[in-house]
Amino acid sequence: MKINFKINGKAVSVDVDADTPLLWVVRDELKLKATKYGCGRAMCGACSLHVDGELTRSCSFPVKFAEGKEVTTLEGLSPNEEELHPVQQAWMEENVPQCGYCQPGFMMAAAKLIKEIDNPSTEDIKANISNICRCGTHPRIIKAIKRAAQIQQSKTSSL
Amino acid sequence: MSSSEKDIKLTSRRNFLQTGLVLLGGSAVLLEFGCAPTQRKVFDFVDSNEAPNMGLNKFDANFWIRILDDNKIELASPKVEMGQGVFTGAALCAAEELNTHPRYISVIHPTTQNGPVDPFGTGGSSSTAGLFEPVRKAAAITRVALEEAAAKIWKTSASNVEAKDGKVVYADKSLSFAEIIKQSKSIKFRKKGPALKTRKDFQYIGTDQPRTDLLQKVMGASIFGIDYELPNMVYGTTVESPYLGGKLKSFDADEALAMKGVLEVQEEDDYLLVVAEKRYVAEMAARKVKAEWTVNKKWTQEDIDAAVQVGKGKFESIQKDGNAAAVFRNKDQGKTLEFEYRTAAAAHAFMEPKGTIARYADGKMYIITGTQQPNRDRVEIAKKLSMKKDDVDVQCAFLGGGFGGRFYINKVIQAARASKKLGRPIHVLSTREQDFINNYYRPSSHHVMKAKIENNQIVAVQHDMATDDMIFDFMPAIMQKLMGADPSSCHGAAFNYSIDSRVTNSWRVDTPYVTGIWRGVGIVATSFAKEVFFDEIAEELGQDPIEMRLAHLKDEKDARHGRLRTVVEKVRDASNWKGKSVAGFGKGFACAMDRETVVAGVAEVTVDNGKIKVTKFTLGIDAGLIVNPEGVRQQCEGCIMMGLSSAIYEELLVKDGKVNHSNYHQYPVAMLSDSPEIEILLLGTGEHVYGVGEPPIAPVAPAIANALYSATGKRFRNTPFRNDLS
Repeated sequence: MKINFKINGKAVSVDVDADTPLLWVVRDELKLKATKYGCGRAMCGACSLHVDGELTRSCSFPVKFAEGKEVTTLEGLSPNEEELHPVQQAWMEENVPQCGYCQPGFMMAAAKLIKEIDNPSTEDIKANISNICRCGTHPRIIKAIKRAAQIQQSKTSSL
Repeated sequence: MSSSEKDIKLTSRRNFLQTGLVLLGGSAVLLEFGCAPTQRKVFDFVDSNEAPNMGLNKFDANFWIRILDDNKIELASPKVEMGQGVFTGAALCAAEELNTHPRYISVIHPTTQNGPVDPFGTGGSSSTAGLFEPVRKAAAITRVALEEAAAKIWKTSASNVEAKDGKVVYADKSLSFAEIIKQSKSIKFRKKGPALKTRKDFQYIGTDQPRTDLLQKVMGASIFGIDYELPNMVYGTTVESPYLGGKLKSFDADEALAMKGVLEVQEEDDYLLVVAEKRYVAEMAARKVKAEWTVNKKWTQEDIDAAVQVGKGKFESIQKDGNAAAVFRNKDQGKTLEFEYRTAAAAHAFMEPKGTIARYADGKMYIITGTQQPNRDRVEIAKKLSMKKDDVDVQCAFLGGGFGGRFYINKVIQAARASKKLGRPIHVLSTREQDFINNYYRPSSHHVMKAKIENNQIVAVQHDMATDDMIFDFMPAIMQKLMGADPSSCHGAAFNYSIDSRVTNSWRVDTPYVTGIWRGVGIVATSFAKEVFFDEIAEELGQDPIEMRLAHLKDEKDARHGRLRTVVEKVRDASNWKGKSVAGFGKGFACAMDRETVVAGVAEVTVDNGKIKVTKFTLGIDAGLIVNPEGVRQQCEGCIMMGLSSAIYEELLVKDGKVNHSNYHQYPVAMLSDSPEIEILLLGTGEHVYGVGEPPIAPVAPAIANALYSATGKRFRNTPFRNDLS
């Protein structure tokens, strides 16, 4: 079945089983590999991306529901390495990743969180992000999200 | 660029100038095994039986360091990057001796055929420590070769020129490394390198450096094994026994084969492999296969707990100092304390499931996978598929977590076998469920601890532990004869405190699943049992737990005692240990020596509505000379989180013949909400680099248990504590 949607601003059309999880379409058909397979059951958040701005666990989101929508993956969060999204910039400054596998999902969740709560507290972060990291980058993720919120604010205020 | 294009770049011969660069330095990098004579035997055996086509101590051109034509310095790391930061550590070591800022150096995974790959794999907290000497030697020899070649171009003495940031400089002239190679007929490498810099001369080593892979990981670059694609690739999903020890009896794959996009179902001895054009189709088709399994025995957790018991299994003596037997026999004097402890079996549960891409063509096998032991994979494929080792090439990619769980990747053999049958490249990936159920695990353990107290002094201690193997299953059988007790399972079992009579015994038992290495190996269990026990002894003696530890770290012949005393004192002071305690709040202490690294930690906890909350963890570590403090901090944070996770949540249980955890909902791990405030105290002493990837995990569980005792008055002698104390 042909399904049409936008990915990172670009219109695409894919011909796959309509029930295929968006995760596999993004990775294998569209060759965008930042979105990761972790658990396949929307529990770990490694596959997090945005569908029409909503944080979505793409391993459990059939591609047919993306029809006509805007999908954003980590690759679409910033235009290039010089103009990083506040979350990516904060991740650089806090030297967050270890193995790095879960980080795209965390960054997508963080990007959504600082849109919703412009100055999140540690408790806000702990209560709202339920992704899994196994290397133990948790303390740095919390610091980086707070820093990202500050970067976002300084960018907004300088406009 | 698509991943398939990247792969072509990855596998094609890189465009470096001339032959040239590099060399070799140093000594083989070994995991540490037991005591010295045994280690020697082990090394000899492994060296003679599994010698790779290139050891780390063989000289070969183009092996360690290459100067690319854009003057990028490429360092091939014999150790794999699994998040522990070895690439950054290695870049710093090379930078130091090349006199060149680390940002000019890119570190890569060589394939088993085209670069140095550690024959013993990556583990044992030995990656940065193990590369410290050879990488600096390789870099120093390279620097001298480039300086001499440049001097020749300028017709001056080599003493007049100097390498600096990718160039060699002479008065007002300079040439880039690449330019020097281009202008030279040949580059001569001296066999023996110059004297290496010492600590006082370091300009990069010991400074905080961000990870070399930071930007790639923040941009989401496709760097993990399962991110790669090869042209004409198909996807495979296996059907494996849900039962421990289950054998394939019969199957019906008709329904699966009828699905659009399914190519074939391959039958192997103990699994089936569904091949399809797309990943999702392969996975859906695998669910349609009806397989019957022969199960001789449906194991239960009760069976396993009964097997893992001191007094059962094979006895091995690990430590026998003084006269403990007589001391304990004498019932007339003093008092004997005796308590039992248990730790649960655990899964690695790393975020990237095991997966492998295999391409068999023209008699050659090419593998891309995230593995802790590329060379073992290569040898294993050659053996299982009757191929020559030189016809198998393994490209390691970044690992989505290792923790000891990627010493054996079952998907490697499955993918290699499938590609050989198909004649097409195949991508075989575990489902998360298979990663939990068809895998190997950290074994559970049982400990009986005894202490004899006379005149308010500890005069004898005894530790009997029972557990399954960790490293023996991954080694040739002869190792078991050579070593007796599994050196990984029993890691940290022996007592280090200054006590006259000390006895440690191991009982080697067998459980129905494969057991193996897990971050920290045996010290996760042995440190828990020992350090909770010493907290109990301190209470019995009416002494402060930290002061009691300090009083038993007085062996002047063991330099670790003095180093650990310093670390313990720093942690005591930084954590405000003697500060007033409030109701419902507790502090707990634990410390450990892991090989040469010494660590101590203080946990602060509260219990709120039955939920354990670790509010702060203060950890001090002396790991010798520190290459990258920022990297060490990351490893300490990782150990605190993984240690906390293991202490509070993790247990792998068996029910009705199956592993009872199919996914994260049944195997909870620590989350952001569990993250405590963390304070790390780094003490770098001496000229030697020691391990940091595992030692910091040793004090975490016992410190939390001791803090919980202080908060609740209840002793926690089994992990996990399970996060419901109500």
